[in-house]
Amino acid sequence: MSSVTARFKRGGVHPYEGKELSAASELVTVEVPKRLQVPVTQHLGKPSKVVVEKGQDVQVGQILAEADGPISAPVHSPVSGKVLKIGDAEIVGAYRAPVIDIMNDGKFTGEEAFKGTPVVNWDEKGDFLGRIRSAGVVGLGGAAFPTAVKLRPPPNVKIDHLLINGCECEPYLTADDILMRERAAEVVAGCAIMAGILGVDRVRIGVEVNKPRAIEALSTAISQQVYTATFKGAIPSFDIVTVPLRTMYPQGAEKQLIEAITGRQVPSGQLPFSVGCVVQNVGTALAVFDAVARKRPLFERVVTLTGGAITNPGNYLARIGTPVSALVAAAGGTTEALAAQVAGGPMMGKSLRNHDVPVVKGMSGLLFLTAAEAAAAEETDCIRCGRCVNACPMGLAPCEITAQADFLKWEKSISLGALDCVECGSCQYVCPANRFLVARVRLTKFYSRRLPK
Amino acid sequence: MAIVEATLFLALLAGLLSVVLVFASKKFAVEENPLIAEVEEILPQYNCGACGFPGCSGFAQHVVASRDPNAICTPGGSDLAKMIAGLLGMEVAEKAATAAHVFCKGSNSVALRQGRYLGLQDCVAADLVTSATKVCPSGCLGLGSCVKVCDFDAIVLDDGIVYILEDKCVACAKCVGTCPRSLIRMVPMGEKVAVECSTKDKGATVKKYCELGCIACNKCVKTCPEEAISLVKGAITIDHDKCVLCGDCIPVCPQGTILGLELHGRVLPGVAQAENAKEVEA
Repeated sequence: MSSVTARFKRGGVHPYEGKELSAASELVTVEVPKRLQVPVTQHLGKPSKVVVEKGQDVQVGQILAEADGPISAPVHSPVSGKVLKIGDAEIVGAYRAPVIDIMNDGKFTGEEAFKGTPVVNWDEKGDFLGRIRSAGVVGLGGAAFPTAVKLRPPPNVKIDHLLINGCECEPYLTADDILMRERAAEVVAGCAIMAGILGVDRVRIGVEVNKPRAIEALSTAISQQVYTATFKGAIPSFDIVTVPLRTMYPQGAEKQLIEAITGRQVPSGQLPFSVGCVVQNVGTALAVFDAVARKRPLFERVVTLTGGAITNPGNYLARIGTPVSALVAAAGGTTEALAAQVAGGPMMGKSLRNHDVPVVKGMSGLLFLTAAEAAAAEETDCIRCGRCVNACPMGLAPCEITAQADFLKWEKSISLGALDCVECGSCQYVCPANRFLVARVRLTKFYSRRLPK
Repeated sequence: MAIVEATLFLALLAGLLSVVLVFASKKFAVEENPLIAEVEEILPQYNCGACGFPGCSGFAQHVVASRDPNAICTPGGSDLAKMIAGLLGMEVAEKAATAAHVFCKGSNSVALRQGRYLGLQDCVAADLVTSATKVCPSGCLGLGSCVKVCDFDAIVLDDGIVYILEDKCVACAKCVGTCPRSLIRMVPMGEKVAVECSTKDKGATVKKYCELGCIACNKCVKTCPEEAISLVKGAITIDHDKCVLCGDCIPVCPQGTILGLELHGRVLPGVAQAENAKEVEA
């Protein structure tokens, strides 16, 4: 099996998958709470600008904060109700960030507008990119980079591939898996829309072979042309293919996915544009479809709640701004075995400090792990075994880079390629000495911004 | 016989080479300003880098070459500055001695904590992944990054918070740039009145997570007879140029934020010291 399926060339690890915990159950819609905290900035790039005032009535889908600059994204109200206050609160990734507190009136005024029959009218193709931008679509794989920016390559660049990341290589997470299984046609239609905007016909959806049902659903949607059901007007021709990939972390990392599917390597310090590729996540594809066909802003997403310390692991559809505590309640609460909680996947996620933080666009999963799952061993000295070198998908030598960082030799660490590190954590996963390799690379990156130019 | 030959040969070689060396030392001698050596002699030889030059000799070369009155060796203080000025025959800029100070007293026993941090024991590393265990968004992370950079063992970590030993601090300010939350600032040496908190949160929020946190109630601002205390951008700040160490602000602080000093066995300014100061003035 592994000999016939593609993968990236160098390194990689295959941790315990843990997908069976959450993959089986149906998608559950989380009850919208009375009060939501919508972070003003939920993307990578320039912070958004708040356009509502305290006490103002808002509708579902109304803009709360607008994009400020080209690399920015607006934020929409997930409910109808009143703006309680605009203040600071803790979110995942920041101790204090501006948030808009909204009191939900339970009426969902304005949501009807997004519930009509979806139509993708290809005669309005020029309008698609604008709809994606104004719907606040960002990369839903986790990085939350504004999608519209990635769909508008610089004029001198020729794009020939649109790659869709359905790998979901992070262990435990199944949020993308469930979207591919349950809404395959819309996902593929979203891919077609993005391909149409980019003017390419070659679309490759990379899915790891540990998700056979997702591969089957996508292949069916493509081969039986189900995805074109909502299409109207002059439909361009597409060459959409589902590419089964070997289960190997970090298959879904942008550069690794490009290598696995096209065999091309993105040069150090450059973007996928430089090898004629654009990479988008399957969740993003669905959000693009909703934005174009339903003119529906991005105000809800699927979050995987899983791990040994949650009562009902599964996938939960939650509005942006819903506190994590509401999701935990929907999943039956945590058990006493809870030892560690993580926002994101186990390899790259961030620690979840408390359950008051809201769901944001980039939140793919919440892990509630038992002591056995989260086993943290004590860090010891590097034994120079070189396993990290074998595991690094970027071809770096993590042991060397971090040894320099230990002695605060940031320039040396950078010269060994620290800035090329994608922080996937493969090295740390295989390290027999349990070295905190990624943390040291992050330190190098942090200090590299402070070094004199 | 061989040993005599060898000895003679080596003696001859040594004689010849010594002639060459003597010639070279005269011919290629580098004239160095003797003042540089003299200045270097009186420098503390800490090589701390606080002056911004590579070590004490680098500072000596700079100060002799430039006669810059603003180039100051902070560990040496004003006494050393006067000595250097005497050697070089120039005026010096008066600069009060300073010491680093940590503006947080939220030790593990007074600040609310949540979760555990098992990662790399480094404040910056923990802060980069927002994994501080203290609920306070601006409290001391307590992982001791500043302790590691201090060359003078002047910083101690105890109960999840760092303290600076003023008698050991040479004001090199290395720790100042290390703290990811900018909790360490330089204050005038001997200054004992400080608002020991850096939070920007509102009072009600602060009360939830720290017993010693400043709630910005403004009582000290109103009490200060010299108007040295002010509320700037939600944080109480003391203007050390105006502060006369009267200690009036200490008892009025409802949170004990200004009184925080006493709790850690340090010299408390208080009334006695204030009286001393008044006597000195008189």
